[in-house]
Amino acid sequence: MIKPEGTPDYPLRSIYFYPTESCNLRCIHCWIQPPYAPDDSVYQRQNKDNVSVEDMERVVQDGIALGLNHIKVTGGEPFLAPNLFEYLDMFSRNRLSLGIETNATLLTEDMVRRLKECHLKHISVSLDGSSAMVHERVRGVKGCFEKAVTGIQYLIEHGVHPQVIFCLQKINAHDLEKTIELAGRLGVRSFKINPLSFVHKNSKPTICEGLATEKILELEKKVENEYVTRFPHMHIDLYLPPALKGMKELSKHRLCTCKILNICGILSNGDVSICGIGRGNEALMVGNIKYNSITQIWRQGVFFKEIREKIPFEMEGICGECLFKFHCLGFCRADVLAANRPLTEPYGLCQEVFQKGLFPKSRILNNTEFALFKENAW
Amino acid sequence: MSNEMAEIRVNQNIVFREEEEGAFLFDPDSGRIFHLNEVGTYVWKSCMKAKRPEQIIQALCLDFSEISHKQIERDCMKFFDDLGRLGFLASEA
Repeated sequence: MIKPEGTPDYPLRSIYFYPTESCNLRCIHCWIQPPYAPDDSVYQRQNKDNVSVEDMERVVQDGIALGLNHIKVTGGEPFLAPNLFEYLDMFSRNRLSLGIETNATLLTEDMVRRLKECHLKHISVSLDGSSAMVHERVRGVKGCFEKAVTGIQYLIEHGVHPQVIFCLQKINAHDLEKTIELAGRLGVRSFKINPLSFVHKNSKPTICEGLATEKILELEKKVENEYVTRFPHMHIDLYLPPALKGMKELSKHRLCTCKILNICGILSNGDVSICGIGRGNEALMVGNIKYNSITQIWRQGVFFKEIREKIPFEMEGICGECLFKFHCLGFCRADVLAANRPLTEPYGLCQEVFQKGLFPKSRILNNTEFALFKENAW
Repeated sequence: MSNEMAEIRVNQNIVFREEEEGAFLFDPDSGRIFHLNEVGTYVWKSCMKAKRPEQIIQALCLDFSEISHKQIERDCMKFFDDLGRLGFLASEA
């Protein structure tokens, strides 16, 4: 595939911000592997070097000129950060739409009230089982199930509707439907199933294990054909590359994928990379906001330049042949980078599906489309 | 049905695919996908042959005689309108 003539513009649309890398839970599947902070004194020791609100405000103001309109606050557990609301107020002041990923165990009603004032667009809460036994086996800390459920209840009682995220793996797959039922009883309207990514297959196979490819594809059919009628008041989504999604589900929305060409991650110490993947891997670091402006990092960062040069033009394997390559962009590049694989390697799940002969032929580009897409890719 | 209806023309950039559970249209520029059922697939294929709306409606009336002409015409016009708004179809007077 030849890259189209001219240099496309790459607005920075979204920043994934990590106000802390610490976490109060010890999830067996977490690819960030944050330092565990069971109490405040441990947290303080782990977070001496964090960026200030002023540092981030400078980033936001420069970022707006680059096209920034959204911040996703994630972690670690963001609500561990004592100055979280100072960040959120600042983002709100700058009129950015806000998304938060949390385990909800630290949420209080007062926090929820304050969240409502921050242009909060989206909040997702992890819930990996319908009982303390299942959820806490995944999340690694006793008592976190009840706290998560209480956090979800606070949100819903105050009209902030969270999306529940279920990390699907062998250890909790049997409990998926009960967890959806529980979410339904709590009043949750959106339930996302994240199959354990291939990162974990490569890095922590003995601790957590994903479902077999065939089981994941079966589940997609079930979500599309059965869950839609069984759970009519909730939108349930199995987060898969578009090429593996069922047709009806696919046509409900525009292709929902990672916008790797328009996002960057800022870690708690100011390091910049794609999403949160740069931590501990210097090759993936693009700069640090304490020493460089985000404009300079975004426009001149070596790794960002490499991404723009290669994604999706040099994608390998089935990702290079896929009908949706210009939107899917290899689905999750963090997945391959975390495993120290080349940036252009195909997404593991799709490649495995393809090698097993299960990849839909209708989702592969033909020669005519190759030529057409070359002209219309951007 | 008026004889002055515009000819239906498909956007040449649109990708059309048939699968076991139906068919879909994919706009590579916007990333938008449109699911087609059996009748929608039939109509789209007719559009690909650049037929006039009244020809498509007439052909559908023959194949689906249990459905009234009025109903088919109304459904077809809505279908053309939806696809036109999404940029899948263009019409030429």
